Amino acid sequence: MGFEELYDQYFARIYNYIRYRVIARDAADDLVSAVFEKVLDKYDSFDPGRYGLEPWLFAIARNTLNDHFRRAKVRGWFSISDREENIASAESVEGAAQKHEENALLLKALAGLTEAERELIAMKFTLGMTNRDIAGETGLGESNVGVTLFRAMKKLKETLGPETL
Amino acid sequence: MNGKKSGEFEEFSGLAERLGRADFSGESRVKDVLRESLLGRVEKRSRRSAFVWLLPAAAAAALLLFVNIRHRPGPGAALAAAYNLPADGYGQCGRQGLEDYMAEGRF
Repeated sequence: MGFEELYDQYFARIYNYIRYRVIARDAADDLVSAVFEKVLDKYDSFDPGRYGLEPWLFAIARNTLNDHFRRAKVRGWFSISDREENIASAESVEGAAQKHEENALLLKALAGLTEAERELIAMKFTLGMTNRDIAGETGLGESNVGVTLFRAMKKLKETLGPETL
Repeated sequence: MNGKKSGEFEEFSGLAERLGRADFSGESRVKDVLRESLLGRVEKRSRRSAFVWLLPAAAAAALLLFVNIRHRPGPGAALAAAYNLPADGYGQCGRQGLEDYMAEGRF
């Protein structure tokens, strides 16, 4: 697969994965750029016999995001909890609400989850990973993944309300 | 990688379906610009790699040129050339080297 085809095929999934995790559009744009630049830099040395294309791509996306969160924590942007991030996210979501109301509501609900919950939701629903794959990637137990996902889904359902589903 | 098993999230089926189909990529401001910029880099790289095979040849040519310049034949070279064997494979005496046993018949 050439890089052009790869970009066209995977941009949306990678972008959605990032957006689910960082919520804010500008941050998602910066991060998706960083991910695809890394993919291009490493594409010549990618060995399809060693890794599948999707796990390789998703690992780059995940590592880029984890670096982003680590740096943000070091800079103190996260303060003590995720509260400030969630407030900022909710504000940025308000701006997008006029254009894409349904998406904006979903993003607002996602912003109410913890970073760990958002990560699992993103892996499950944008990358299409199984609980076992997620457990393998995150180092959590498979049952822990299931419980966290269940709790996150419950929170989302409560926030969105039955009429919006 | 197909994450959803049948029967999973039964009580959240509407939400799971919505999470699965949500697509925010249309909201990205960089999608097209990034595509253009990265494909430009790919093209530049492939153009550069098309000339890479010329590098060893160019290096060898440069080396030969350098060696030729460094070892210009001196004034004695023309004189020495007169004592060299002719290029027909036979020496000036008609022998093809010392191992040429057949040469006896020719003399």
